[in-house]
Amino acid sequence: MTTRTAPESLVQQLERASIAYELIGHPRTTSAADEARTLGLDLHEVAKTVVLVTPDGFVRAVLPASERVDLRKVRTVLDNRDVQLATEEVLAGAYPDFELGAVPPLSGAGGDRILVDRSLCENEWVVLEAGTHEQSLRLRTTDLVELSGAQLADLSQD
Amino acid sequence: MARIFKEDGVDRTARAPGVGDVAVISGHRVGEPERTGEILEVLGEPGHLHYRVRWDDGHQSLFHPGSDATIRHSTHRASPKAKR
Repeated sequence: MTTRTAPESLVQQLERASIAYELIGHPRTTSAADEARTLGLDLHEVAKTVVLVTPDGFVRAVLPASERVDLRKVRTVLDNRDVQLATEEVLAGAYPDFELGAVPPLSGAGGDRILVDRSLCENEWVVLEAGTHEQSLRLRTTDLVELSGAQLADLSQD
Repeated sequence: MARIFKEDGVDRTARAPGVGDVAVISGHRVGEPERTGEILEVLGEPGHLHYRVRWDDGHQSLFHPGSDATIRHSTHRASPKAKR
């Protein structure tokens, strides 16, 4: 069985940015919490990316594996009441380079707005799905924010 | 004392990183310790080198150094097994 690795488009974006990053292979995981357990990391060190659909396009919300996205907060940040979680069918069509449920906040369709939960910035490094359920991407949180052009906000449920 | 080889080519007289050398990532924040790991394998092409590294906490990864990463040459470096 072949291990799925990070898509070339993601690796190229990281290479162009000349930032330090790691690709960590691991047994297949299907949630950020599972990924954290597999890698022996705390839940707050691993982030998940939730894709949202808005009238202005897709928004990728990045928050700790331990947290759940608060759509009310996201609607406030975006100043738009029409914000919904993307369905699997939508995700499969919009992000063909990535495995379903493993969309990272980098690469993929251009123009997505990126929101990063402010609490992630408490850690110097963050681990994310690298577009596949069998490889994780570790990079500095500041690099993630800069590279993705993310807006910092409080996105987690209280 | 180990020599430091800058991946960005500042010290071009130093020998290239190899198996057994140590990758070093300095902390960006006050009090943040540096992370170090032993290079197990050298991958890629000159100018785009990356490494399979076993970090101090035991985990392994493919490490792509940024401009702030350094390689500390080991004084007892393993015999070369680098893939080029």
